[in-house]
Amino acid sequence: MKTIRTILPPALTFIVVILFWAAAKKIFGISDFTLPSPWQVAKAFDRYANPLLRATLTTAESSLAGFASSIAIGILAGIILSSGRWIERAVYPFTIFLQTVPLVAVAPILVLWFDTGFTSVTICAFIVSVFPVIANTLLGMRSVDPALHDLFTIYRASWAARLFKLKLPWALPSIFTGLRISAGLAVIGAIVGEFSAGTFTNQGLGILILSAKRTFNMDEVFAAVFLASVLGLVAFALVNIAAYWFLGSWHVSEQRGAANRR
Amino acid sequence: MSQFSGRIAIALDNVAMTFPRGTQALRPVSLQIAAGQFLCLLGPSGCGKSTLLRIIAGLQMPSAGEVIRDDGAGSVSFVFQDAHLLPWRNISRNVTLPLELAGIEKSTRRARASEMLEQVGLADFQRHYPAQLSGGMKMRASLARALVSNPSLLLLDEPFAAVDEMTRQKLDEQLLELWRKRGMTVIFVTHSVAEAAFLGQRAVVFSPRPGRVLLDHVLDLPAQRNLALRSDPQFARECGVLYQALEQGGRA
Repeated sequence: MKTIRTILPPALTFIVVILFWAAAKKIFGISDFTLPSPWQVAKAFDRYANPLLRATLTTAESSLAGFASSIAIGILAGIILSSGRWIERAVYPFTIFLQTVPLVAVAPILVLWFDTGFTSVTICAFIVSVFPVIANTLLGMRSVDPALHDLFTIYRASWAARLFKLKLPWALPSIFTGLRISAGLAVIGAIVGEFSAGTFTNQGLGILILSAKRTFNMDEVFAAVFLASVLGLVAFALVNIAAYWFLGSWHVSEQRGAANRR
Repeated sequence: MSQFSGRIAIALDNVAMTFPRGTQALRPVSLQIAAGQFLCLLGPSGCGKSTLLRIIAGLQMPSAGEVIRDDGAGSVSFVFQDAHLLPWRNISRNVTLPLELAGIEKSTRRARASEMLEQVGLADFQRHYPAQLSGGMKMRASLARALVSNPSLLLLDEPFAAVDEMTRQKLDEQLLELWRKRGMTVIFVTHSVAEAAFLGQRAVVFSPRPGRVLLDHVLDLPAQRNLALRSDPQFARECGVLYQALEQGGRA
């Protein structure tokens, strides 16, 4: 019963969207080149199964590696930045640079340094996805209840105890907010990165989309786009599972029926 | 009454506080607090009594004067207005926190925490998380956390202000019982006249900001405090003394 209640609503939405898609194509007489029908895209999954699967795995590798680097380096950077106002003022403006730098402009430089392929694409995924982790870690660590800081001061807690027993656990819900945002961004970063830094020998979804478009295989393009968003969803789901694992026992956001208490 | 002839635990020598922006919170205060005394600091909101408590706790430096502590290496504990438990730790692990920070080994701290939780009536809730407890229970857990390190000085800053009247009465009685058993020095900040009279051996009344001492009064009430005391004429008289001091300060 419970599974039906969780699965049924999104499944209905999915079916409605597919129906609208098919109907719009019929009613407005849209050509197969501009918009393939749902059925054609479904068949493309079968026809191009092998290249699609390999491309998905290639992109998954770089986005996961980029995301993992974002988690490690982002949290570490957040910890360092939160250790003092002075260091925050000195360094934080430059982390915003990561947020504003146009990826397509950086990619050629990365290719020059690391050649095309896994390393460059992973760095692209990292650049796009690291900032939300840094910003949210910093926010979480900065918003510790002042009374709890007082408590740790009274008991003469060491620097390490304050970090690991107070600041980090306190920041955890906020860190997960950052991870939820950056999980999807890592996939986007990997695909955009592939546009200019991917290889054709071991092509990811980005390259596959480009070459399928060049040969007018629009059904394959649509299938690849669908897989790219599935990849983002999987990354997001993984973060949610981890969030439940870490916060489930105590944080309101993960309590049973949290969504009903609006 | 000469019941405070014992050792002086804390001496405040002209302690005053003016914040950097120029707000004067506290005019010079000098007080001597005997070891094992239960002292209530009473005053209207914003009179600087909480600031004074923070200064005694060492959380804040006074802008003038000094605090002399003379009770050996005894530890200090602080109870806040709200429970302020760590939400990711269950009750037992919240209570062990001070011992953990002091580097006491695991089995000892577990044993002491469950003994302490037993004393505040939370023995059955050790594995519950703070979010699963009522306000009064959280406050009792907070009290257990404060006492588990066996402090020689217990500071409480309007600790039961957020709970209902009935719960507050119970918590007050529980605190008195724990104090009688352990004999630590207690400084209890409150804005409730009745609470100050019910709990304290001595009450110090503050004026509105910038606070100064209006009255330093030894309460002439029986050592055994219970609910019946609240309807005792002597209790009403003592409350009257405190009220009068507060009122005078309000007019000045």
